[in-house]
Amino acid sequence: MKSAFDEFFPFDTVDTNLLPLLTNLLNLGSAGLIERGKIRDTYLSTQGITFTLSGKERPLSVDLIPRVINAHEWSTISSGVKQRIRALEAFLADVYGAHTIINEGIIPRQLVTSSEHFLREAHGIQPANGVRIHVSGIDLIRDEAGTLRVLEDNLRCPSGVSYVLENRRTLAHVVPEVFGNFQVRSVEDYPEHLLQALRAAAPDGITEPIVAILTPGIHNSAHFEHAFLARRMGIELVEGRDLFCKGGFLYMRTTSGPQPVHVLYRRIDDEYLDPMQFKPDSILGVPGILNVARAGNVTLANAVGNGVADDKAIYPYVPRIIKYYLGEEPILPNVETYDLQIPDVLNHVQKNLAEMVIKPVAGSGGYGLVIGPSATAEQLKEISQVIAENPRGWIAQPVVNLSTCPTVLSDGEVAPRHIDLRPFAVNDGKEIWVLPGGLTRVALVEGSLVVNSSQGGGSKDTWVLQPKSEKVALAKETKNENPDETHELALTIPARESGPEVLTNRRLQQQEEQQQQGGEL
Amino acid sequence: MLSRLAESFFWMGRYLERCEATSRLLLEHHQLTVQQHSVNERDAVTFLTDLLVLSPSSLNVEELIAQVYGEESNASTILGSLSATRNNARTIRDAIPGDLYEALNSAYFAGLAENPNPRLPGTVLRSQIQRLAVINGVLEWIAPRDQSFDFLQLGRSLERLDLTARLVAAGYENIWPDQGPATMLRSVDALSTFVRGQIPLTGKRVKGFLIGDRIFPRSIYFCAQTAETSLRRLKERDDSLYREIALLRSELEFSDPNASESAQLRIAARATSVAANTSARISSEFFRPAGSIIWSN
Repeated sequence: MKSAFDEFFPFDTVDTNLLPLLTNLLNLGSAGLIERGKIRDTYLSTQGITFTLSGKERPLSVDLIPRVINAHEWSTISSGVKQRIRALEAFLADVYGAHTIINEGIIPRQLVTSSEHFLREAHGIQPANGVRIHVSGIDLIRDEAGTLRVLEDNLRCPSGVSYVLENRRTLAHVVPEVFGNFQVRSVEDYPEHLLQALRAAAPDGITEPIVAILTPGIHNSAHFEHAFLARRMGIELVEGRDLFCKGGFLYMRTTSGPQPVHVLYRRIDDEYLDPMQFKPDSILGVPGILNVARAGNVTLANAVGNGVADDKAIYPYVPRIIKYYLGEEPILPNVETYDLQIPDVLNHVQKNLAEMVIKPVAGSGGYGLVIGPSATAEQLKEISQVIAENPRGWIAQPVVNLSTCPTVLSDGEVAPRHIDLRPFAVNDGKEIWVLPGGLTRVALVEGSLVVNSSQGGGSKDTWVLQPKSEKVALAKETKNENPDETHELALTIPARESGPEVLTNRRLQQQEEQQQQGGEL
Repeated sequence: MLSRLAESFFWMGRYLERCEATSRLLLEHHQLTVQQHSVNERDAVTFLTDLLVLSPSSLNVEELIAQVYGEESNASTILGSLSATRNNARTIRDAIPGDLYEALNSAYFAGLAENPNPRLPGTVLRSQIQRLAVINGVLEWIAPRDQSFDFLQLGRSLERLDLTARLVAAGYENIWPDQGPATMLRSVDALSTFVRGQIPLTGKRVKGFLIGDRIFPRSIYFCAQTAETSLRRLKERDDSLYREIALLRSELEFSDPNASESAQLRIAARATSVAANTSARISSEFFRPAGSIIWSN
């Protein structure tokens, strides 16, 4: 396997811009790093910055070394992500509408209709401001040559953005040294952008929309994030049982009676959303909500049926989708992917299984993945059969040796570990905004290429650097339109008051002490 | 009640509040200076010493941490206000619940023992805030709601009012346009309360919130209202005592929520002087006169 690209030491050189960061950290020594690791763990658990895995709440560990992206590269990532979202929005509008891309033979009809997430129930639902992908997370990896490639699209309920915001504060709390003089772009305003986009998606005629987040509940792995976003956007976090539909409208039950909900940022999957349409035994959803959405009285964000566009079997066609709708070349390339439904390709993949990653189309979170080079002969034999039986259910990709980044291990040593990157984009219908940062996931086990937090992955604070600029010299007077007034106000602010010196009055103290001398112990 | 007791309750309330508020301010200012490098370090440091009316002697963030954490002899610092809280409590030990003294004492000794690492102040400051919360919790649970509590409440709300006014006047939003407004809110732990009512997060809105919000216990309006209530309970018939603070409260109650930023600054400056005047009036009305022994026949 080709050796991985390292984010700090590209092509066996060193990125000199990043050197001060590493030096400041290594100066702490491994004992110092272990101590900081403990401070971080305590901070994360007392702050409750957790995710839930198999019913158990645990902190999502953030590494002490951030991942750094320079301004130039970020502008490529950002425009690449925007381009992809524009194209995928057009694709969704098409497959739930006129089907032109299918009719023109660009995408096989059977591929779309066989997608588990292609929901006929969503046909004809017109999103209020034309947006279906309000929030997305596009997973990127960097290959051995240093090229950033899209690994997969997440257009349903991408999670992780809360950790992007919390990781920054955690790092500033635990290892302020690493920030040195770096000018890092702030990630603080994500909740504001998201809320604006959700409000912009309100049904026609609603000027003061009520927005809420729908969570499956506290046992969901991303419950921390749901609560975080609700708190930071100042909106209600609701569960299915808080909501009901009546007369074509959606309401939440409150102490002052039913209150309408106009936009629902739902963090539960399509199949659980509406037991009248999908899984009839779902108790997480709201019966009838899809009809309310169809009537145009509530906007669901993200829209129902988006899964067809991030289906792993559609993924190889995304470059064609971009060309078809936008007439542009993809800014961010895909990873080469084999469509196992073509017999020759299946044959080729079966012969070269040891160099392939085999992924279930329906899976997420790294479950069911088989990585050729690290699989046993038995596993390979088994997967070979499985894909032959159900070629639509799997895709194969050549193993990409993900780029590495120096990472602090539990023994205080620093070693390279494989990482990926999930930038988050918010679409308000007028503009697609990409959060300058993103979730960098890191595979903490040596050599492992699986970064999912459900598979023992951690995360890294992700820095996007400001374009180089001079520091602002601080002159308070220039900030105010009226310098005289500032001056005058400064004069009127008095010193802070203090009370009588209760115990520091020396004379009083001496006399009190002397009084006691007669009866000392 | 004894004037001396009243005075100590009043100042205990003030210093307790000051210690907590200063710890939070320092904690968030540290976060800000670590993350944002758009202004040079010395200016970022002087910004906080100005806000806290400390001498501008610190040259960098590490010195700032040490200076604001401070020493027992300077009641404008964290350790100084903690020590002053306890000193006041000591003189009225007979009149306060045992649990309260215990909570105060352990906060005091832990505060003395835990000199924060100037490069890594977060942990110490956070546990400091937690210990102060225990003191407040004990007060809430078991302190009798008599005059002593009114004096404590009075001290607490005037100190709060004063600090919020200084925060509004400081100008975070001008110097750190990106993170300044959020930092102001975090400095009084009001970020999530703020966003429940309004977006977007602009300096002007944040200042408007800190001045006039009806339900946030640290807004100038809320503090003025609390102080007024305590004063009325102590001496309803003498309205000269609470006239000034009541005027400030009613002005805020009916003020224009879209007041200009210079109007906001004027309110902040006025609030600071109302706090000082009210404190002085309370002192001359209820407390021992200066120079505690009076010679007369």
